Amino acid sequence: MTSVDSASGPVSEPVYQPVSQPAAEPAPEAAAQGVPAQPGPREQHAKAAPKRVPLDVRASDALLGWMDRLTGPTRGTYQAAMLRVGFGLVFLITLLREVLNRRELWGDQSPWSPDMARRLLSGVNGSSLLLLRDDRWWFELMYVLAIVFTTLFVLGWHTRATAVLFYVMVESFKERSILMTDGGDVVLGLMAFYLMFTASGRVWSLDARRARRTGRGASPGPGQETGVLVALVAVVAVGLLLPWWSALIGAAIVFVGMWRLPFELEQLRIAVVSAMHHCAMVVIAAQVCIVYGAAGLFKVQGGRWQDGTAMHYALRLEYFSPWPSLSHIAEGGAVGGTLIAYLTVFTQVGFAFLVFAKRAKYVAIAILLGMHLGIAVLLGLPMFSASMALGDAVFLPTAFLLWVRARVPWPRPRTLRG
Amino acid sequence: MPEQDSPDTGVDSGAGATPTGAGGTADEDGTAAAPTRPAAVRSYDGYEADPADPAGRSPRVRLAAAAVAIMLVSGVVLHLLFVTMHVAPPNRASQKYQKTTNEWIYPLFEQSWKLFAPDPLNLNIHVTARVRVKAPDGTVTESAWMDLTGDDIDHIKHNPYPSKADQNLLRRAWDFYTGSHNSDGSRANDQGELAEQYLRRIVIKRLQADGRADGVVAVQVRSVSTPIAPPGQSQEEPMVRDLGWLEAQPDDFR
Repeated sequence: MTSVDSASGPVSEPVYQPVSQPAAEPAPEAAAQGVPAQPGPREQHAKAAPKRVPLDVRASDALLGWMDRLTGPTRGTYQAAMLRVGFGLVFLITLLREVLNRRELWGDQSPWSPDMARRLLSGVNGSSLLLLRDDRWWFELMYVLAIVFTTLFVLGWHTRATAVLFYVMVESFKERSILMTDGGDVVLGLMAFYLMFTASGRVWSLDARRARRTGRGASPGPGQETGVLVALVAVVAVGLLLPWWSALIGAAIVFVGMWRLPFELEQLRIAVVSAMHHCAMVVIAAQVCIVYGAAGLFKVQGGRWQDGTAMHYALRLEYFSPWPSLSHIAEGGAVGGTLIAYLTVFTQVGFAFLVFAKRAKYVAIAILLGMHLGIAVLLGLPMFSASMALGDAVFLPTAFLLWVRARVPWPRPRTLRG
Repeated sequence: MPEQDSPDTGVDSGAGATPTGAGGTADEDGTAAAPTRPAAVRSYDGYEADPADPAGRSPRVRLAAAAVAIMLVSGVVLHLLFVTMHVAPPNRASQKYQKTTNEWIYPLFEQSWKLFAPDPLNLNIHVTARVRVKAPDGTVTESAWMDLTGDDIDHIKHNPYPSKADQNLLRRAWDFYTGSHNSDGSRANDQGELAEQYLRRIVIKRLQADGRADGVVAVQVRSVSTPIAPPGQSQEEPMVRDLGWLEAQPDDFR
């Protein structure tokens, strides 16, 4: 709270006041706590005075220290790895589940023809690898590649490059048939984009295993030939999907990365990668809060969430009731239904605040996870629910993720540890 | 935010992965219980000191890193501002900067979180259709109404993981149609024609799946919307909305 003390005077003050000079105002700590200025014992002034570093120096020190933390050792690598595996599996399961409907949803037999998709997209400048050609073989090739790239991403094989390929595929399928998507696909697309910038392959990955076995880290240079090749594939994919300059940037990074960097440049590279990871994790966390904040704000506008009938209507939509008799039970009657409606709105609106509360955040996460389990079963939306639940799980502590991981039988942690 | 006191903080080297290489680092032991690592294993990728150790950074590396970090943070702040403006209920600020916001958001960050909001839909809409078929001898007959939504719901019922083809395809096509047409059936925006084409093709596609699409010359779509009765009240009568006949095009038969 030291920045509060405007009493410490203009910033042009001399840097260090002589100890002997009686201080004109109380110590910063006292000012911040609202203690009235009292002429205290002389020793107290003598003690407080040397601490009085001008605001600009303290501010720049704080800023630089903050930047050091941002560019320092990566935090939240287990959370990033969880998102990698989770969202990768969501997309993989979707592709496998729809394998028989693939031509109707995204392919040559779709009533939403490539021409129509291109006409709709021309308004918003989107693009998709699936729209580059109309042939069936191209579509089938992209489908197989999407499965392959996603599998490699889940396993964490040359993760940075496969993360880019994963995003390109997720975006391609989304833009090909934008009218086939629901909220889950939107979350998946956003998170796939943000995950490109995280260090999601540091743990629970083939990369981590290889690094342990060979002792070779991620520094560019000899020994990274496979990674360079995968990265080149990713650059080509980016060039086909996104504006040409983004591929140019990617190509430049790959080109520079083929050689061993001088020590200081390598230090800088590591710092930038770390800062990018931290920024991306903040964006992911903020995006989850934005989702709930917006969903909550819109619900506050609706009368049915306040009169307690929202559950009644939501659970009687035929498109979202695979188990009608179960849905009728889950409406919860007058009291239960109202309670669930209120709890939903309060948790969603309050989520952004609750995550900063050390203990209360677990209550919020538990409520939301329960809500999404209910949505998965009752509304028949397992992949939407899984995507949202992964967003909630970002806020879980590493210790808990490790505890869960220890109980997942495969792959054996021992094997992964090499 | 991930936990501040995550056990990996001390273990992770911060060595990163550009597209050249990949995420792994040499010093990751994957356990929280063993924060101390055997020093002998460290190779530093051939460097004499650990390039990932922030303490070893010279002032100019530290400053350069800070400069990049400040740029990244500014980008994060801007992005989150734009996303917030994009998803928030319409307000003065978001309307004032709508153009800039849209340029940033579309198409990559497009999102809407009106999940069952402001109110859950209180209608069960069934999209039904009938077709005009021209027989080889030239006689034209009209089929009976087919409940396309009913088919979707049959597929969804008792299915723990329904397909997008049943859950989203027709449902969102109808939303697309109502969003691009006025209540009198005239086109409200330039997506109207696309929406009509889409509905027509969905009907023909369904008939094709049954092998009944031969000779179809026109399609008519009708929506039958049944209001969900408020708790404890009796069912209301459905509302019917007929669209005009849509002529089938050769390209519709795929």
